[in-house]
Amino acid sequence: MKEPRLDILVIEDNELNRYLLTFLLEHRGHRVRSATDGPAGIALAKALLPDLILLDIQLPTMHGYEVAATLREVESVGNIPIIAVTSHAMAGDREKALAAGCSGYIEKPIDPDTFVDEVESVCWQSPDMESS
Amino acid sequence: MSTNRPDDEYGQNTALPPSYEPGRKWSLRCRALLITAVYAIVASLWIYASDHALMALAADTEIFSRWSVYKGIGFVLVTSLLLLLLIWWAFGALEKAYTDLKTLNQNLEKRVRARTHELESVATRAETADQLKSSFLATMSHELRTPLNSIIGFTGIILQGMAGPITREQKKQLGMVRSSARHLLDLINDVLDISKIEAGQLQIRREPFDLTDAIDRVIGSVRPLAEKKGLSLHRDIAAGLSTMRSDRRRVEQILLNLLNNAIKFTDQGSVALHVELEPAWIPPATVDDANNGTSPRSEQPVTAVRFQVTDTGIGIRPEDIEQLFKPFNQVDSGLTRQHDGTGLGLAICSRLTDLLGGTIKVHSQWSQGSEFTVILPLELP
Repeated sequence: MKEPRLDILVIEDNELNRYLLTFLLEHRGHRVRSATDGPAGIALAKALLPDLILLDIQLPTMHGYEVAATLREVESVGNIPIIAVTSHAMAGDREKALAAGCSGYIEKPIDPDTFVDEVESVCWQSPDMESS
Repeated sequence: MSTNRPDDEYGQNTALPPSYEPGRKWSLRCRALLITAVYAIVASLWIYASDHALMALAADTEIFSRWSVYKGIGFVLVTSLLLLLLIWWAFGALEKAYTDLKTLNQNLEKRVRARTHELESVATRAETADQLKSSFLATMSHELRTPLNSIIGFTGIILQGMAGPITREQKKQLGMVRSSARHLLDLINDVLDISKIEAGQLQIRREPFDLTDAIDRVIGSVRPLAEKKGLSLHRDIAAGLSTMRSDRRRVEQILLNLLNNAIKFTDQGSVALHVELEPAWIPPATVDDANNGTSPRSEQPVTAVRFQVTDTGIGIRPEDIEQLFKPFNQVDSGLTRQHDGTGLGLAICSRLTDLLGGTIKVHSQWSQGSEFTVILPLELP
C-alpha cells in the first residue's frame, strides 16, 4: 500500500538525534523540517502547518511539555498530532506527555526498525485518538 | 539524693532545685512537726515554771497578776519575733525555689526549641538530598540514553542497508555493535531501576489488571528467545485467576526477568511458568523497611498468587544460592561471558517482590534445573 507523504516537523536539540530522525523519516518518503528549540519549533509549526510534530521533551530554554501545551492553544496548529520522543523514561512521563496534549509517546532510544511505523500509526489514527 | 537528679550533661541548669527533690517532702513536714512540738513544750514549761517563780517572788496577788501580764506580753513579743523569723526564712526559700523553677523552665523551653530547630534542619536536608537524588536519576537517565539513541539508531540504519550496501563481515560486526549497545541499554535500565529502588524513588502503583493478559504479554515477549534456543515454553494458569490489584508493570518485570534467566541458563529441555491462587497466604512478618518503610504487616492470611518458573537448565550450586539476589552476582563467574546479562535481574526481582509485599524463593539442583517461586498478594494493600 502506498502511503501518502507526510510533512513532519522535528523539534530536537541534539544534532545527531535530529539527523537520525530526519534520515529515518525521509527514507520512507516523508518531508522533514526541523527546529532546535521550543520557540523556533512553535514559530515553524505556525508557518508550515505540518501534518505531524515530533517533539523532544528535554529541550533548552523551553520544556517539551510547555511547547506541547502552547501548540495546543494555538488554533491553527491545535489539532496537529504531537508525538513526544523522550529519554526520560521515568514513571509518569508518559502520562505527563499525554496530559500536556501529546497524541503519542515514543521512548528513546528509538528502535530504527519500528520507529517510522509507530510514527505513522499515530498520525493515521490521530483524529479519534484522544486519550490512549 | 544526687541519684534522683536528671542527667547533668547539658549543664547545671537542668537540675531541679534541692527543695523539689521528691525525698525531701516528707522530711520537711517532719521538721514542721518537730518545731511545733518543741515550741509547745518550751512554751508550756515556760508558763508553768515562770508562774511558779513569780508566785514565790510576788508578795500579794495584785503584784502577781500585774507581773503576770508583763510576762505574757513579753512572751507574745518574743514568740512573734521568732514566728516572723521562721516565716521570713520559709517564704525566702519558697521564692528562691520558684525562681529556680522558672529559670529551669525557660532553659528547657530554649532547649526544646533548639532541638526542634535541629530536627527540622535535618529533615530539610534529607528532603533536599532526596530531591537531588531524584533529579540526578532523571538526568542520568536522559544523558545516558541520548548517545545510545544515536548508536542504536544509526547501527540499525546501516544494518538495514538504508545507507547503502554493506559486506557480510561489516554486517556481522555491526550486529555486534548493536547487541553491545542493547546490552548497555539493559544495564543502564537495570542500574537506574536498582538506584531508584534504593533511593526510595520507585513508585508502586495499585491498579486492577487482568492477570492472564499480563502473563500472555510476558510469555509473548520471551517466546522468540526460547524458540531460537529450541526450548519448549509452557504456560499454565490455574482456573479462577482473573484480576490482580498491584503494579502491573512491575509484576511483568519480575516475571520477564525470571523467564529470561530461565531461558538464558537452559540449553535444552523446557521452561515453564505455572500460576495458581494461594488462598491463605501469610505475608512475611518482617519487612525490609529500608525499602518502603511500611509498618509491619499483620499475620492475617491473605489471598495471593503463586508464580513458579521452572527450567531444566544448569541449576545453581547450594553455596551460590545465598548470593543469588545480591546485585552484580551472576553465579559462576566462569560462565559470565557465555551468559550475557547485567547480573542485576534477580536483585531487582527480589527488591520489587519486597515492594509488592511478596516473597521470592529458589529451589535448585546443580545441573538438574531451577525453580523460582514468587508469591505476591492478589490485592496490594
